[in-house]
Amino acid sequence: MSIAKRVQQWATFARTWHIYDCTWQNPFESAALVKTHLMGLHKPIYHPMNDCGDHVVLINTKEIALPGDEWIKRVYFHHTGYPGGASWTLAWQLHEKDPTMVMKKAVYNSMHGNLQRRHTMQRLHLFSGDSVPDEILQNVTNQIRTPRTVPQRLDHIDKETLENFPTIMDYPKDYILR
Amino acid sequence: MASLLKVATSTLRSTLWQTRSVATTTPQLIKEIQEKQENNVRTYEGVNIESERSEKLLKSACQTTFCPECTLGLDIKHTDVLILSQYVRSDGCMLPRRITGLCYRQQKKMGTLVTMAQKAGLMPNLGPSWSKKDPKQRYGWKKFNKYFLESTIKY
Amino acid sequence: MSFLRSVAGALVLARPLNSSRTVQTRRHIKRWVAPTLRELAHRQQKQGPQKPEPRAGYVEWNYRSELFAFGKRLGENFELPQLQEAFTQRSYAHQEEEKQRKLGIEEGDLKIADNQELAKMGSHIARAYVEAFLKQSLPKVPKEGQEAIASYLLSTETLANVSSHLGTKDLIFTTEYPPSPESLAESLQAVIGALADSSGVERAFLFVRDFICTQLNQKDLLDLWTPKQPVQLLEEICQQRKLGEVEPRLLGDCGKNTVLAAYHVGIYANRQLLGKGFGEDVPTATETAALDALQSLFDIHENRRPFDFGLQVETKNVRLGN
Repeated sequence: MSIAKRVQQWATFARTWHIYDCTWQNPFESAALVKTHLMGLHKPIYHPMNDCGDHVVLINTKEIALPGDEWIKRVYFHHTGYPGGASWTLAWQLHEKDPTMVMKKAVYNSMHGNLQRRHTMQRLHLFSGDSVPDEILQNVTNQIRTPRTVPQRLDHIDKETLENFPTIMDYPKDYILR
Repeated sequence: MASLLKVATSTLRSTLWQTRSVATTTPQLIKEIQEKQENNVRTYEGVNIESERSEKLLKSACQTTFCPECTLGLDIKHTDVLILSQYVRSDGCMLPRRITGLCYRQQKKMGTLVTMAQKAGLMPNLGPSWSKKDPKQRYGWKKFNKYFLESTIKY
Repeated sequence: MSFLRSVAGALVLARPLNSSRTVQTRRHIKRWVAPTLRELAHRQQKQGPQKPEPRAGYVEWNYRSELFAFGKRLGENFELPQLQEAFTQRSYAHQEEEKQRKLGIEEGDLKIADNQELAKMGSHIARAYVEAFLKQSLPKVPKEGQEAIASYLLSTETLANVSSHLGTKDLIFTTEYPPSPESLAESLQAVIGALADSSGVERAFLFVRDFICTQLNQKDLLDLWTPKQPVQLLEEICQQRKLGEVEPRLLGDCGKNTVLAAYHVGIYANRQLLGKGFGEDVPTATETAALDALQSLFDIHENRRPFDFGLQVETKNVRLGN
């Protein structure tokens, strides 16, 4: 094998590091996206027996958003194995205990339950905030595009934009402004 | 003793009453009183002041019936706070249809969108005085981020 | 008595019922077969693998017609005595001479022609043509590269491979069987020499093109020749051709702090991208990038135009030398 061929092989099977900002993202929509990168489903060389998955760094997992009232509707079940050991935890309670857990479980449950799943999960790095160790951040070379745009709060919009924004309604003459 | 307590509470009430009348912002006036002196006749006249909004007003919005969706074909989401905040009073209440000029259906829809935006904590500065301004300080599950789907609006 | 008879009758009736219950099986393979086969296998294993038997050892073997067919198979017209000479190895000729000497045949009649002369001529022709062919089809490759590729084509392994697939194995007269790669290669060279003698040098050239040069088909030329110190070579070439200063730049990397780090380096000269390369560290990536640049400069990329084996190299361009 010539050096060019050896290096081509090296580059083909190189593990890319992706970063994904979970701010205002639905964890279950995100999980489908993260899963493809974790398992290497986006690569033309993908095969179930081919170990070609990438690393994904998830940041700001405490800022995830759920639709409507799903924070109180989604329940996580756990059983200790002893009689009466069942427990049901609401999503918001779990999120309060560990801000990375909802995201982690979403990614874990999005994959098929085979022997590969736990090894694939080893390539997922979760951080509740935006502070990532430099050692990990230096590896990152790609950012995954988020499906949902982060909404802007009215009190965070700068004054200039507020003033220049066109109005679509004028108050009637006899209206007392409050 | 009882009479003494009564006196104390009444003074406390009166001080509270006094503090309430304090206004933090200068009220915006719609009309201005103008004074004119004409040959021994002094006339006081209330003149309409031109609204601040009039310059920024969209041309199509000057028509009598205007809805963002019906007239302009805009697809408004609950995250478009710059539009929604125009239909809301400073305490977060929805303005009546007489003032917004929306059609019946749009008025209902806008009301729902405003509720969604408020629940998602996107307009925390427009709310009653007793409200917690920071949505992260809300109680229980309400302190976490949530979004809404416009497809769930029924009308 | 009648009682006895009735008992006997009952027994007769009962017997077929009893026998039908146990199924009598007949053994078709005899008891002695398995141990015999086992013993035979044992002996065979003890003896070791069988030696390949030359085809000439069998009854119906007509060497003359085989020789004739060999020529016709290749679409060439050989003179049969010369072809036979080309297939006679020196060792075999010596052995035959010894045998005849023992029998008391005179020295004058002993001379058995061997293929040394023909092989020498053939190898000369092959070398001359291969070099001319490479010069014409790989014009941008430097001299040492062409030499390396030519030496691959004319190496004993390649020639032996070609020779064995042309079916010379049973035609060669050698002392050993199967013939060694050396004798296979030598006899192929001798066949080229014999062809030059019988049908002219031009036919021999075409033979070399069709059977030896075609070994280059789908070969990674980097396997045959890799420039040593590609970065320095690229710098020299860029200086010669005035392409500008060579400058490697990092195009991308991933997993810097891991054992699976991969770097992507591009080589630029005068703001033009010459080549790209990967590697587990920056020096390796630079080297492969330089190699990539050299490949495109020399036109020896893997995705280059395939070799044209219908190419007619003019005879005057082939340097026979003598």
